[in-house]
Amino acid sequence: MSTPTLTAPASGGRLGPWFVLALVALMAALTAAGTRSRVRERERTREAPKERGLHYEDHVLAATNLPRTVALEGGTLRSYPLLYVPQTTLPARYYKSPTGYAGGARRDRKPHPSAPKRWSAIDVGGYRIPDAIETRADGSQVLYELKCPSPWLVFDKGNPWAGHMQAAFASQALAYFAWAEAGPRRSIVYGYCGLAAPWAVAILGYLRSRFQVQVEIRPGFRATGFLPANGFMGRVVQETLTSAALGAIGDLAPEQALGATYDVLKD
Amino acid sequence: MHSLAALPVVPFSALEGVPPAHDLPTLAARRRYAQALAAALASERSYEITVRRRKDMPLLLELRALQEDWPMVGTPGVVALMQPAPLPEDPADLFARAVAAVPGEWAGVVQGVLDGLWAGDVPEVPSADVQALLGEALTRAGLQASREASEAAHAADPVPRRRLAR
Repeated sequence: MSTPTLTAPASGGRLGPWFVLALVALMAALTAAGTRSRVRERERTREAPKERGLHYEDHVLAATNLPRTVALEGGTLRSYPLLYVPQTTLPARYYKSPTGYAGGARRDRKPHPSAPKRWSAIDVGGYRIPDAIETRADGSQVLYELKCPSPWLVFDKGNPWAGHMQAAFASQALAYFAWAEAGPRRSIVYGYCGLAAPWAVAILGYLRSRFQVQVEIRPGFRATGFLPANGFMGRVVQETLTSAALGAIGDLAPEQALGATYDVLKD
Repeated sequence: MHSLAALPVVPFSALEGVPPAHDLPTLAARRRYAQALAAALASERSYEITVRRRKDMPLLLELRALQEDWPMVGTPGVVALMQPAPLPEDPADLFARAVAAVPGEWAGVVQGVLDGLWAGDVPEVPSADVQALLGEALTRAGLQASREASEAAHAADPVPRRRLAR
């Protein structure tokens, strides 16, 4: 009884150990390449919002954009200045947004235990780098912080990543409020590429109640021509309009949406 | 524009003078720009500002504002929305006030630009001097509009006088 053997079409002979080894090496290489590709894909996905934010900053801070308008009013704009601010902390206050943008943000009284109990403007010896500071002809100063996150995040109470996200945003904002309070005629502008997330607005409102500082929130700030923002706003507009026009498909009577009922079988 | 020099619907390139045709793609956009330009030259408003509490701001209105390029200036409590004033039935009076406000040697050119835009044309780029005049007028009007929206928002939702304990 002969043992069945694999044959190589090219040579028509028996497979040697070298061929098996080459096959194993090839499979290992393909697996490694696939893993690297998946890792790169994951990194791309993870970095997408960050890259979108960086592109938005580049767009707004381009010479023909915000700096030009500031110059028209006789002011000067410094991009990415180093900001040494008083070491300030504040009891943290977190929010939940369980139904997304339209539902707004409500206080989360039971944040995840890993969320910091107090927000800290800076670490010891640390500093902050806002996107830009405008110094106007009259000496007043405006700090600009540019953000391009999705306003459509949905998260319920006690969500760990939402806690860390809010702590990061609030700690940075705390530093800016501390800077604004430390000098005369200073104010803050948060420029958003699209809509401002409700939880971010709530945090800015909380900080404003603790500092006597003017903060302005500008949705769609210089977003004309900034395609990423248009892209994700456009999708939402389409979804919202469709939803408003039709309602959920499930709300429609099957006869209206799909014709006669077909899933009730009769003998 | 959605910027510090903000006027509803007016493209950003209008800060330089008459924008290129691709920035004014429709008859409505050309008439809006003509209205904004004429109002700016005549030192009049071409926009309306309304202030709403955030919780009373309809989502569809916010989305429409972003889509249509209506500037919004907010505080944590309120949103000031800048919408274009209704287009006039007949712009002749507005255009006449605008033309009267520019130096005499440029009156004819400016009248031609405004009439052309209203008819749906994008006029040829005027001389550099006229472009500068038109751009500056709109920039001035945009900055003023932005200031008004900002002041309206802060007046409706001032910084709390009593600082809460930290």
